Amino acid sequence: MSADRPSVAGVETAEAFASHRRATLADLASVFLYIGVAGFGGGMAIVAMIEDICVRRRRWMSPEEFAHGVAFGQFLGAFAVNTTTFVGYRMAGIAGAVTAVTAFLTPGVALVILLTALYARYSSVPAMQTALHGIGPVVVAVLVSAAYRMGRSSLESARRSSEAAQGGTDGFAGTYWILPAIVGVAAFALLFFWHVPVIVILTGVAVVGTIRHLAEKRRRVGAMDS
Amino acid sequence: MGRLIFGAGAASLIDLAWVFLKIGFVFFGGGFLLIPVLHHEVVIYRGWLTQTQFVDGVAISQLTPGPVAILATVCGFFRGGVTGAVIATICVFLPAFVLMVTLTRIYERARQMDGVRRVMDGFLPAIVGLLIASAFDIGKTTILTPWHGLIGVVALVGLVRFNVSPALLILMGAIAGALIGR
Repeated sequence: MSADRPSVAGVETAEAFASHRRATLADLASVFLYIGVAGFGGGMAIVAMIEDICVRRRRWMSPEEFAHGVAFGQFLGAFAVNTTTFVGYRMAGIAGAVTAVTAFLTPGVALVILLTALYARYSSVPAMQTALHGIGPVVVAVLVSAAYRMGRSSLESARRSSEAAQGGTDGFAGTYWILPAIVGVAAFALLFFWHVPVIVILTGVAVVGTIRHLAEKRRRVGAMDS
Repeated sequence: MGRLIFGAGAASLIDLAWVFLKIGFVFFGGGFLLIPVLHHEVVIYRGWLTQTQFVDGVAISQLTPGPVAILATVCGFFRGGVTGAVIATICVFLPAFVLMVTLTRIYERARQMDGVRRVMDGFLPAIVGLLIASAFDIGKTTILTPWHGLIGVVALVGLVRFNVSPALLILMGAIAGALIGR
């Protein structure tokens, strides 16, 4: 299915993704209807599912671009819906965004209305609890597999950019993985142990990235002068 | 019951739309923030739902797929039936939707700049960390027995090695969960 796409060490390059851009409105509707039905767990669990379908299976965008969209979505709050909006808009503009979000919300809204109507009538929530206990671990697995893939892409893109910057001969080429590893572990620890708001974590990442970029730029200019 | 299906009058639907639009605006800052904000507005301040109805509404919205914010649908239903539920849902998501579209448009221009792109690429490892944190959070409350641990491992192998679709695994997880019982 994907044999025609160029890849580096099993991870597709950004260029390979770019050539496969553009999904039709019908694609968006069917994919997000599916995610709306299967999207248990809320928030990041749904983001992980969108990654599984739109990035890994359909290759609508690169992992990097997807991460940009997720990060922006987090700045605004309702992240799963914002990621849906981002993917829909990038694929097919405003119509794509409206289609994706409507398709995504429809199954959940319909089910909630049905359950609430039953509840209003019988004053009890239908017994779905034990079945849901089995869904939880699957949601965890979806999260872990998305983290695994995005982690691999992250290391791959760090390796490529360090090779591009240093011509692949520099002695520091072997240390490309340190910064992404620190960022990943720090983001995990800040959120999980100290409950630091996501918006603060991502702002921190942007600040660190900016400082690093400016420092590199200065070094390059300095190297040119001497 | 008739009122639950056909909803309240037009005036109170406009009122409902306004309240949820307002909530949609303060919604920025995280999905679960919506719960206390909604509680204050529709239970304490306006009395559209009783305390019990609200708590059960939270349970219903967690039982179903889709974002946590679908709680707004439940609240809208109690106020204005199916029409109220649909209006509440649209209004609570509208502000974030408009902002996200605006942000995406800016993004499309900004990503052409090399420096901006390189700064943004730092988000990728951070998102990995956030995904793992979320996996731990959900795992803490759902992987309570070795059987549930086994479901998780089987699902992970299915996803990574055999490319099984997440929806199929979720269905199988639900069946396995029902078989295991509590």
